[in-house]
Amino acid sequence: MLEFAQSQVILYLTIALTLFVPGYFMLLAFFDKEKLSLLERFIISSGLSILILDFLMLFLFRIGIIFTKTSLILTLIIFSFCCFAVYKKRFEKSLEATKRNFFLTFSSKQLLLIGLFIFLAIFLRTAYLQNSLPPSSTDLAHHMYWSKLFSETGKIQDYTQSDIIKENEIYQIASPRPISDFVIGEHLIFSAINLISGASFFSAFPVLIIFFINIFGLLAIFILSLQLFKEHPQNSNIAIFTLFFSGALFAIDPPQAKYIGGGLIGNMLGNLIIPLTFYFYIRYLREKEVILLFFALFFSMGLFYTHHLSGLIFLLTFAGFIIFSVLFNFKETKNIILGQKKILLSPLLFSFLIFALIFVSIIYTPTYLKNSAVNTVVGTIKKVEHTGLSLLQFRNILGEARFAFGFLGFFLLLFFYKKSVFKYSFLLLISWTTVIMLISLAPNLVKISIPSSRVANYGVYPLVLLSSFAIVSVFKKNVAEKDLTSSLTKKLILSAFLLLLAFTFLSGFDGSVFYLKQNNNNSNTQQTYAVGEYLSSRVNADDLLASDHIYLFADSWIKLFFMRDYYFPSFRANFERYENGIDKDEFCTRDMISNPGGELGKKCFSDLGTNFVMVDKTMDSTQFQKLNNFWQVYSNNEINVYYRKK
Amino acid sequence: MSIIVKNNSTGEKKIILTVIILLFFSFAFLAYSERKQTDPAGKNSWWEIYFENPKSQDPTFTIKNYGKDEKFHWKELEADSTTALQESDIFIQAGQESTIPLFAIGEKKIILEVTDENGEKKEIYKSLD
Repeated sequence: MLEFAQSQVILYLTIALTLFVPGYFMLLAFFDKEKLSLLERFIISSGLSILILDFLMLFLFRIGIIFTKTSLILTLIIFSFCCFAVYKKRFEKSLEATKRNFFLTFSSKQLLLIGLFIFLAIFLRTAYLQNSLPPSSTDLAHHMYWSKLFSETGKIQDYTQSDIIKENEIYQIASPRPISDFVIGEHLIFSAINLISGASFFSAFPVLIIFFINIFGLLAIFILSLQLFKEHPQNSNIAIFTLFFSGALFAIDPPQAKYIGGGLIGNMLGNLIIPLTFYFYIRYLREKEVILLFFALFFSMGLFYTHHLSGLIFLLTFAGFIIFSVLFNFKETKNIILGQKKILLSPLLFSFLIFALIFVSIIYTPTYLKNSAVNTVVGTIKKVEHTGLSLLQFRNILGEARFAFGFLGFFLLLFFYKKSVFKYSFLLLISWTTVIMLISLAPNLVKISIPSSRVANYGVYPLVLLSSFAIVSVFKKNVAEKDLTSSLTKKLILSAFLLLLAFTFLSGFDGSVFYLKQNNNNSNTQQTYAVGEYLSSRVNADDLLASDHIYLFADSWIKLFFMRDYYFPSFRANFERYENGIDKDEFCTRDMISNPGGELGKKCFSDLGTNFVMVDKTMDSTQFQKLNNFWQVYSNNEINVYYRKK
Repeated sequence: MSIIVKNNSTGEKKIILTVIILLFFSFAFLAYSERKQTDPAGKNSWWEIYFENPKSQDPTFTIKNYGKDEKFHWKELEADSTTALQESDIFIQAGQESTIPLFAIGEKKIILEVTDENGEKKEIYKSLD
């Protein structure tokens, strides 16, 4: 118990050091206390720290410093100390600024609601995630393989995999080829936390970190909302409702807890960094201060080092934002664009542009740029899952309540647009929603080929903002009135509000209840881990393993026991991947398990030298038990392992 | 509405503290829950058997118990898989394992069958030719 408590304390201190401290000190160096409230500093520090940590680790790698506990802690401390020194030098003389502090104020009822929604957000996710541990999801395994590789080797490795190919009628393992599926920012934070805290990748720690990122993503939407609707008299209430629509409702549906447990790290990071990026752009447009543009650009750059899909969504939304701004707010936009010449010459921004150029070209170029993966995303759509969703599918992904309120909010925005003093908030929300809808529903129009349902999930956050705006705009005045008995109209409006709230609750919690009932598969996961431990301690570099991805639970985690190649062990994928003519062009991985005694199966075993196989004992053991050259060397409740005697 | 007010950060501090405290308890709960679930001596109900040397003809095998039932019965079976050549009971506590350095009697194939208290059987085998 003492050892457990100790490990937890170390983990939490590590989380504070890596995911809070560097960001906090950087904000301290650049913003005096009247520019950012305590809450904004707290929230922005998390996203900023992630990016700082990534850039620092990339820099360390480039100058040949190995990642160790000492090197990482020292680097973070030195960075934070430098920022603190800048803060002291810049602000020690400015006594006026240090006395004034910037606060966000909420009434006690509002604080209660905020507390309640945060509690619900965390509680529901915790209840669901309990069944996701120990980690078992495929995507998380893929990501943690790279994080573990960086930790073990102390440096960044190329993203490669070795496929099975057929050359001159012989099957063989090909030389490693570069892959573009991953972005470095998805892995470095986990490597850092593993190295500093010693937490195992097979423990709860990866899921806890993604959970942390998810919660701060909700809080980022909260402060973005406060900025977007700053002039609105019900600004605070709109922000509070964003916590309701994104945190409490649909707490488990994607992209919330299911994405946390599923290990969709890039999406989670994107959902934190995109709102923070927009936060700084909106503040810059409103306040016209260079430092705000600097941070906006810093976050934009960081996004492209974190998740390519999130970066693409941001880029398209930003492009849409500029187009809409030019079309509907031409005069003000023209003045801003023409004014950029002077701003770009400011030392801070000029330095940043040089920094970005050097970083991308010399320090580290994201793999999807090096491998020209962009070409695979733009152009004719080939894959079925990229061809767009129906409106019903789109609605189901976003949730009925959010869909309904969100589109009400969209039309209300259009209605209030002309009256608003600061138009950019509305233009951003309109372009954000429009871009997501276009790519999700009609990707052929924009020639962008990415999974439509994944894009639709990005629509959650703009719809959360729109929903909150809608519900507060419609009911603000009438529900706020204390004397409800004086007017039948007020009673009817209150009833309508409560009815809508009930519908929203039922709609939003329905999914949570469904997912919470799902079974805990931790026993299956442990048995897969046990096989990994058994085999990894008994095979050598000449032994090859084939595994099954269809029936085995958590099978992708086996690769972390061996750390030999991203594609080791080879695995039998879902059958349709061999049949669609796109995903799989070899059938060895299928036949070595489905038909080991058949002609192709035998040839594959012989050519590749595969001598161990792990399969579900109920579904796939029979075909091996019939063969004399396979020994059944391991058995637990779910899995059998066979050794092929040569 | 955001306003500048002197010395009134109480609301923000409360929100920050709420987030920190709730995350702390959630993380601690999840970490503890995961630890309990993966404890070999915990409330699981599975077990495993394996050859210590899967690639050689060495018949030494291990039973590892992750459940609460402690009594296991192992048998070496004849090649026809029905006649027991040798057998014995063995008691293994939850979270523990027992390695049996067997001297195999079978001539063509080693077949080992282990049964737990509930009658659940598992088998491992290797050929000797």
